[in-house]
Amino acid sequence: MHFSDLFLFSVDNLRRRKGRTMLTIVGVLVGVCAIVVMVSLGVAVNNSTDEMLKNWGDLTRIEVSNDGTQQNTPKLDDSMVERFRGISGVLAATPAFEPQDVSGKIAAGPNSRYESSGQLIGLEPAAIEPLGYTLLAGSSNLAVSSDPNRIPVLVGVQAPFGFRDTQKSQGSPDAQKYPEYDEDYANITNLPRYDEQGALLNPEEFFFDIMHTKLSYRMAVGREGSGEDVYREYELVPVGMISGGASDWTINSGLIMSIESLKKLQADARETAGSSRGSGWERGSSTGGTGSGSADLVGVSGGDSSSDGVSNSGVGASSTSGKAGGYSRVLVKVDRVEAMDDVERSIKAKGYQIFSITETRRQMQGQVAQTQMMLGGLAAVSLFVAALNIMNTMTMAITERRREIGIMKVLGCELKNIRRMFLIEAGAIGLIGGVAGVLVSVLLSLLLNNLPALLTLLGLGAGGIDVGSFFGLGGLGQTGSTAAISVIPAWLIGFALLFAAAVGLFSGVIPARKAVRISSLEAIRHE
Amino acid sequence: MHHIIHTTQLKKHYLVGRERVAALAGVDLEIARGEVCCIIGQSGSGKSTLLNMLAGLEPPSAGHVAIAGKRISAMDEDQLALFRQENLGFIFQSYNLLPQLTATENVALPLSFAGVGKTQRLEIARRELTRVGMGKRLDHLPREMSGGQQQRVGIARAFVTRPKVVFADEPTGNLDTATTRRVLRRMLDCSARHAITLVMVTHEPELAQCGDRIITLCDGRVAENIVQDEQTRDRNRRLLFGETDD
Repeated sequence: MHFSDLFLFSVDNLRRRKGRTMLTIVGVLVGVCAIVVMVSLGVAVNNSTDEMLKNWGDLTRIEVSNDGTQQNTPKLDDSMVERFRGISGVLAATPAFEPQDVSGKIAAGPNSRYESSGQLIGLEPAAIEPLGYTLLAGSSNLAVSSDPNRIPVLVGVQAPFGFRDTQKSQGSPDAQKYPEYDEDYANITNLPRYDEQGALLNPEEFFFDIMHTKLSYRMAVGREGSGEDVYREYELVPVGMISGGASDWTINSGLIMSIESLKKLQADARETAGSSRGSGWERGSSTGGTGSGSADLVGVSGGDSSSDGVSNSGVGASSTSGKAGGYSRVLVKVDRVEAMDDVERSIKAKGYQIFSITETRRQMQGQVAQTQMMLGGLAAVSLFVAALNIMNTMTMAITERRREIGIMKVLGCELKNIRRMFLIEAGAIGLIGGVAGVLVSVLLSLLLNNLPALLTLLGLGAGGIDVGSFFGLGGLGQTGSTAAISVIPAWLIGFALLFAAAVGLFSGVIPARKAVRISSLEAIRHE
Repeated sequence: MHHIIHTTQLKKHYLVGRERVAALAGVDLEIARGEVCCIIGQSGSGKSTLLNMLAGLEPPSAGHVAIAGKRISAMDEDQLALFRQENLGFIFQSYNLLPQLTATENVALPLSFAGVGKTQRLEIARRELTRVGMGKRLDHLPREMSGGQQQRVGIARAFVTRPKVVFADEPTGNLDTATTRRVLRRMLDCSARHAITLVMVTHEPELAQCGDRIITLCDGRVAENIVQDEQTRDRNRRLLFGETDD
């Protein structure tokens, strides 16, 4: 028997009992609709968290840290960084070297009027570009100059806000220039802007043009017997300005130098300080006034320099090195998001803590998935009821058609065709219900997404619906008023249709088996 | 080899409560190819049971049935369905046309089971219907036709696949005398035209007289097995049908 004949026969049978068929289809419609709408809410939340995380930072960057609390964790040293580079999918890896025993002040302007206690961060120069930091001005060439006292640095885009005017009293509002934020508190509006020639376009926002001002670094190397601090002074030469993106606060507010330079500073600090070092740095008398501004200096790994230069024992739980020595933080850049799982797994396997936006995303999505699962479960109950409904409808149809089935058997209809006939009927109910369910879901989705507008139209006022908070992700800056509440991707439609048809087919299995078992003697039973 | 149907010691028991009732108590039969075989007997004589077993609708309790050399009593449901599709036709007392299908579609149904394409099978069905005098009712639904007309559609449906054997279970049981004769004649015509063996159960002895072989059952046993020569048979047919036409 041809499939088309079977199909037409089945459809004909469904048409003969329009009312009952329609009711059964409505049952499937409700179930499919419930599932699709639930899933679409989750998809929308995931989409907007993705959107949000994109603003947070790079999806393919991993921060590896060793807090020194795990006994068996290997040292996070240069050879380990080298091993990270060898992991498949890793584009670049560099320590973010922030030695705790290097501390000092950055001074600029006449008589060192402006001061910042900026953090120095050492990075591997070769890793800066792959890490995706944006160069806003100048170049990223951190090549060490011949003069050991002139150190090239990259200035973090927010570093200018770290300077304080030492001629103003500390509490005064004009002692410091402050960043200004836009309405959403997402972006700073008064960041320094440079044109192609390297000229500062908005000088009124700052005390001085950091790119064209002599910066000196006064490193504390200990204290004299009299209690006076001892300094050693270097010149920091800004070669460029970089931005680490919206979320990389350390880079944005710090001063980045080659890790080689920073190791040199560290060595100088130790050598000069001798036994008196470690007492911490306090304000020297020469600058006058009290208190200090703040800024970070950040060091970039020189690569080949031995890890011995890094190990540090004096300052306790320093951020630079754990108890076991080595770096406290390493940045790893992966070539694509898909490779993140593997890279993260192999780094974790070595015993390190990691942080990445992708990891955060996974956790958030896990949370959404959990809530979705629960709601999906409720929706699945309604689809289950629909399945029972189909089963009932089919069983009734078969009971009514016992004679007909008997006649077909006597006339030579093979059992497999009888089975298929009823499976097609049940599957068709499922599929039609699925199609209707998807259509209604799309309408509902449109309605949900335009709810605020509709409410306004009806004069009920627009109350933004925060679906994010519904999914346990409230307070992430996502409000339902702008983002779509419900998103139905193509795969969801395909899945819903397939699933509905499968539920129909599955519900038809038992009735179809029953139909096959009907005796052909039913045909000759006299009424 | 000229026996198309062959049974040996065919038995059928039913359990009525705890009592075993024998519907057939050992039937040996041989029916020749192309024969019109009429089975008669009182109600309860086992004639319907015999027909059901010959057509493979019911398995025998003992003994076996062979049609065209194949032991159908040993076949499973799947094999039987296929065997019926290829070799057997069936005419029911209550016509048993599918109510949602037109006359043509009903006749085409067994062809669709055999996988014949739509256009072709409808064409064949129309031709077959025209042959049984239903050319003007091709697109009528069963409920729009009289009993005699429905049974003629039933006959066309039984013969349309050109089976080896057609079984008829009291085919005229629901019809009046005049219609009975017309319907019976159509059946005999179809059988003769294609040399198809016809096995018909009836409770009217005078109808059985038109067969080549008349088997009388009594209490589950063959009481009489008469083979008529052609002259006797044709005389009986003339007596029965008279000058009826149609």
